[in-house]
Amino acid sequence: MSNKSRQNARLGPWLLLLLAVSAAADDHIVSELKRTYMGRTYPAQPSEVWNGGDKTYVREGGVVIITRHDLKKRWIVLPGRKKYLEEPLAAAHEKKPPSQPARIQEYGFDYRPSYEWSIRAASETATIIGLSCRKYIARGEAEYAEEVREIWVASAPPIDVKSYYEQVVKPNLDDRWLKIYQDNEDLRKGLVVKSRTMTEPAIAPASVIELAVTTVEKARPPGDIYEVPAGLRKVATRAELYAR
Amino acid sequence: MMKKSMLALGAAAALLLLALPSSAQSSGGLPDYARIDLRRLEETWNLLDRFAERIWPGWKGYQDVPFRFNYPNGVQMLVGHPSPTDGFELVPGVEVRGKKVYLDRRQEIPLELKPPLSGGGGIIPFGKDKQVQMVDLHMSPVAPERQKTAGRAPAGEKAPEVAPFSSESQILVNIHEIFHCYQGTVYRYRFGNLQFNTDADYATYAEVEGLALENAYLEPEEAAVRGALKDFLAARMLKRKSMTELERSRESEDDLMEGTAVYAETMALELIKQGYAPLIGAGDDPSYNGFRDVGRYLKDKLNTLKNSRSETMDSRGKCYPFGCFQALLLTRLFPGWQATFFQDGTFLDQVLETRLGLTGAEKQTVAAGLKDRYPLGEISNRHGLLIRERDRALAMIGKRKGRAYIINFKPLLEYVMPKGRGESYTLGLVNIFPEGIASIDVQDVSFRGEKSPMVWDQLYYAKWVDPKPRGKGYTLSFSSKEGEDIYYDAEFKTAGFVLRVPKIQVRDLKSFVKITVLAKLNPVR
Repeated sequence: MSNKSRQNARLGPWLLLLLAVSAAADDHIVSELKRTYMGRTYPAQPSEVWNGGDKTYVREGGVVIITRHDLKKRWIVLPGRKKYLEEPLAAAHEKKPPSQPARIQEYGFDYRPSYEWSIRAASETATIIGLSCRKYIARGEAEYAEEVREIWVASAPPIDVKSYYEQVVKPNLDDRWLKIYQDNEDLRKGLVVKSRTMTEPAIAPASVIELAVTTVEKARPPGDIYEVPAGLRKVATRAELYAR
Repeated sequence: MMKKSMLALGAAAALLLLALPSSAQSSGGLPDYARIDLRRLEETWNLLDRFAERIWPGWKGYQDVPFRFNYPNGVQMLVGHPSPTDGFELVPGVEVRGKKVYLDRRQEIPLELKPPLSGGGGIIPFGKDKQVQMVDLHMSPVAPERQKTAGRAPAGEKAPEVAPFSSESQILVNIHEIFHCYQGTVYRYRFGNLQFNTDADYATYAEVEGLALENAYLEPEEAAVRGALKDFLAARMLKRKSMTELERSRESEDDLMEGTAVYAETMALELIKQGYAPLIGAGDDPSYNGFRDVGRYLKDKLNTLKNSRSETMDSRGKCYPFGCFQALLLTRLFPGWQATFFQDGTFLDQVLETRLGLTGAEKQTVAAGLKDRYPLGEISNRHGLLIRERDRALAMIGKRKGRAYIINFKPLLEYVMPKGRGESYTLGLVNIFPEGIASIDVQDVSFRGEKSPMVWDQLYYAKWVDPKPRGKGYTLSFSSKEGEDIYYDAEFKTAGFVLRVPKIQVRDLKSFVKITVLAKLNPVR
């Protein structure tokens, strides 16, 4: 047996164990979201994503969304209020509400900006949480609102980017951002690790939202993270879920 | 302190400060218009020292409500706030009843502001490290025609239709907004503001509600007051047929919030009428008359009820007088009704119904008899006509396709009022001008519109659609350019309007052209 063969034989069990852990590990991303509005920066809101391929867990502030592609359902969980709502997955891609309501009594109160987006790669690059990143600037113009997003995209994050895009990113994109992602491989195959979104709404003062990813890793998720925690009450509607 | 600030601000900013009009730099580092607002605030507190407990039992803490005054020259003044945001600097040596005063002059432009100023606003949570509920007022100079003194119209000239401005009305605004902050300590706000475009039935029965409230208020006999209030409640039931449960709750909650705040103003006036020694005089604020003409302001409250009830398109604005007169009539019939009113979470109309002992069956009977006591046919025809015109205007504007132009006035820090050609119709925050907007003037910004349908939307934006654009559809001339899309001393011209403005941004997009007005003053005035 050569030295190399002996070394491989010694590493063999460790390598197998490592591969086994890696195979059982899910993508884990932790980030913080900070909002500044009217001169006040609000305390950072933690956000956490677990992506296990056919199941995902997304926690933002006090709301947890567990998506089970294997069961074709989604749970919206409010652990603090001990309530959850179950929805069929189809509802996640439900038809968009019309831009104007059917009742004339409601017309004109609820302005929802429909942005026309343009995006360009900036010249800046940086290393953020150990990952090589490139900056992109997206500018959205709506009739009565505008938004500028500065996005830092890591090109080779240590996660399954294809699965992350399909399961976590894509379901949350509107038609226009979906087109941007489809046209831009760097975005589709990368991970946004830092962003700064400046919004000038129609009437309210401007606000800034900053996102900073603090952890990107492959790890084994704790406990039954893709299940609804025990002891929570199931409700039938969103109104019931969010009612105080 | 001024010298130190100027050094800190740098040479360019210092030059700007030196260029400011003299009236903006009075003693103590506080502009005259801001000093007057502080004196009005002191007078407000003085009034509440005397009357708060009699206006609303338990009303305390009125002096601890911070105020922010936003001026159209970009200056902001903050009074009594425990945690100012960045940019506010302490004004040394200026305090109001021990409350510190701060100015934020970072956005200041050399626009001369000549008192008197007046303004409105609302309650917002504000503060850098500690957020508190605060009164936020947007002030602007009183229009010259409102500064005329009543009864002094020269021979042959018509007396002004609008009553001349006096600072008493601003002190009443202060009382109103401070009362909102008190409400926040005793009442849990649940439903949000009413968002409801009127229909013919709504407008008709809202007018009957208003008539019934006026009748009840003017009626000397208690039995007749009760009868008129039952008419009010029956009309409300009929009015609400096209409303959802949420809209009904919102309307009643608006009556409670805004109505009791106007009630606080009205009760203050009633108490002033019985005797009041003002703290400040004409030397402090030349527009203040010490409530000598208190009857005028009380009469204004009744006039507001009369005007508001017949406004076809307005739903939310009615809550101010309707809520106020419900509260006044509760006080007349059921003294002490306020004791746990906010804490109970019931609405004014619910309290009235309970206290009057109005059953469902009786309400139906009263409702059936409304046609005998009110000119329902005439009222309904009048409102129906306007509602049909509004709906036609909406259909017309919806069909208009072509190149859209959006003119954004939001950066100007002013409440902009377009002057329309002919009638305009409001749906939500959309204001339709079927004959177009004739003009918009804000300092050196001038918009002149042709006779062509236009929309004023979301408080700050004009929209015009060119159905037959020729070529690019517009011309743009300017003195100088900055970056890709910012132009100085510019004229933007289309077949529908001409916009002249000191500084604009023009973004020619796929779906629309957006013109953002960035400055309202020419550099050399």
